[in-house]
Amino acid sequence: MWPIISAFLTETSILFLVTVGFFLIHRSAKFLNIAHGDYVTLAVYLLWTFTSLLGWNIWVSIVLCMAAMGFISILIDRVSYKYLRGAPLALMLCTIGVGLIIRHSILMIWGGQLKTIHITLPNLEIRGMVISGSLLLALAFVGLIILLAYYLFKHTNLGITVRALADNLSLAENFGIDTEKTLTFLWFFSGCTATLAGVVLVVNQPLTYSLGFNWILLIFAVSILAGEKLSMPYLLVSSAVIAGGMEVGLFFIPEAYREGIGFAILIIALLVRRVLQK
Amino acid sequence: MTTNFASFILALGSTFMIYALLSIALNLQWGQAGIMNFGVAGFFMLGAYITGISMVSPTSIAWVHVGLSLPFPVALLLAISVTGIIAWLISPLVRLGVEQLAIITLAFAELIAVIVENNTSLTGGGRGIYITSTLDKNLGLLSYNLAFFLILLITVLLIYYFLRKLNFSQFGRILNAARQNEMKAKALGFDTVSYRRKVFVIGSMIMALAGSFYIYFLLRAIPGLFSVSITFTIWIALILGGSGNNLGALLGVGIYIAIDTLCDLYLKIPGHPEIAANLTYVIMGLIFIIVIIRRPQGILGPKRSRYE
Repeated sequence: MWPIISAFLTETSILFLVTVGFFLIHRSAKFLNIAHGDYVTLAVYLLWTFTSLLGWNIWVSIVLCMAAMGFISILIDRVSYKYLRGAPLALMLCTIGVGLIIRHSILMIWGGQLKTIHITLPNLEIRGMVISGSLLLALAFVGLIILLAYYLFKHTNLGITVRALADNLSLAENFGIDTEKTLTFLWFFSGCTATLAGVVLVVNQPLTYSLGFNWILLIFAVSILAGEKLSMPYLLVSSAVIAGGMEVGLFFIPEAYREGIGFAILIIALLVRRVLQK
Repeated sequence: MTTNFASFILALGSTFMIYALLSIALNLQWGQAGIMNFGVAGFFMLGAYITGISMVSPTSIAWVHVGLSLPFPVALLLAISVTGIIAWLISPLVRLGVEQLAIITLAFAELIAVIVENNTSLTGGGRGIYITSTLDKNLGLLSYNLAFFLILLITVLLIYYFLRKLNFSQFGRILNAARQNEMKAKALGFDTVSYRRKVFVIGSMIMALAGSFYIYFLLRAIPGLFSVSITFTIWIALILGGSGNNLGALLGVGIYIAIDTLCDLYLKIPGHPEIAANLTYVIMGLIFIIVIIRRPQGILGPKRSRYE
């Protein structure tokens, strides 16, 4: 039983981590950042450069990489998305271009051959149940993000402006909230979470240029299932539902179609919501 | 040398025509009807693989066990009609919001790719499916390319003419009305969803036609040729040239093919082949972002009838 629960928890944490940055941007700036998966990929390649090429300590590298990705996301926002505020479709199409540039720049700079990052993590054993290091790391990251988000959104002015933006962008602007400042913060946060997602992903698999991009459909599914509100617990529940559905579905359906199961859950949920609304 | 050069140009022209078909089909769906179809690669792949499965004979490839060994014209019609039926079955989704439809069509394309990759006995899986062509056997390289180019040219011109007629007909005017203000169009008594469903199906069938020609042109199909990059490339080409304008759609594809060919021919850095292969997409991405910020209507801008 434990291996299944362990796989479920790992899957839930990964889904949560890869989606959270996308989710924040989607709820506050109101557009789909299709390039979010590529931010994750860029983060792991930067991490590879820091650890394997320059030989720095892994934990120092992760922190540096978070800062770097935060600033890179702000930079991308400043040079492209900033000019398209208030045009969600143009923004969504623009992120396609950004994603394309990131993916192919990665191939140009780092090449196409497989790379790995060695992260040695101690396993924890409680009463014969082995909790793997990667699961502990993923859970720690999820916990960190949820606590941080809770503190920010409930107890700081910046977090309150984020919630105001998510509720009603133009109303927030009319109340004199500096939306640009809030969005800059959100992009930084989004870049940081992309790094954390990347770290958890590369513990168990090699780096490829489409590492993050492959998650894009599940990112959409989790984010839409989480509902209209900007709420971390909802996002966590939504990740758990999709992860659980995929784990259960694997008993009946071959491994190759697991993304399809995640998507089927989303479509059913959308239909149910539509029926309930009527 | 000259023969090789001529057949190279003709092959390039054929590639352009195939992409142009995809692009004007997408223009019909997005530029005229406002349907955000992110499943271009999926319909393209459906067309190609249905043609492939219909044409291959069950004994010619070791790992493919199903095949109908039909001639190309029949296979082409089969591919278009089956894709049309599939598109009709998923077309009620055009009711959804623009973003949700984009996500669901993207997932549909992914589903098609996964099905193709995992049914080796039917589609050849990762090893691909190979067909033989009567044109290829009987003609030399140059005349093969020429014949193919001419067939495609006629097809593209016909489709172009058809779409032009459609755009300026009553059907096209209702579509434009529905795109601009769906509520008003509904209030005038038009069933906008039914019009959009029809356009979704017609566009998808043109994409399948492109796929059908594509496999007949290359004489093989592997899943890697139909990745999501195709969808994104076509979208970028359309927005770049100007959505709502068939000439713009052609121009966008032309720019893509030109950049791709130039990078391929002149950008050879010894020891680093990956730079030439990927620089095309980086340049396309940069041009695309600049265009979408500076000139959101695209290079040519939408072409509307004079009644608007």
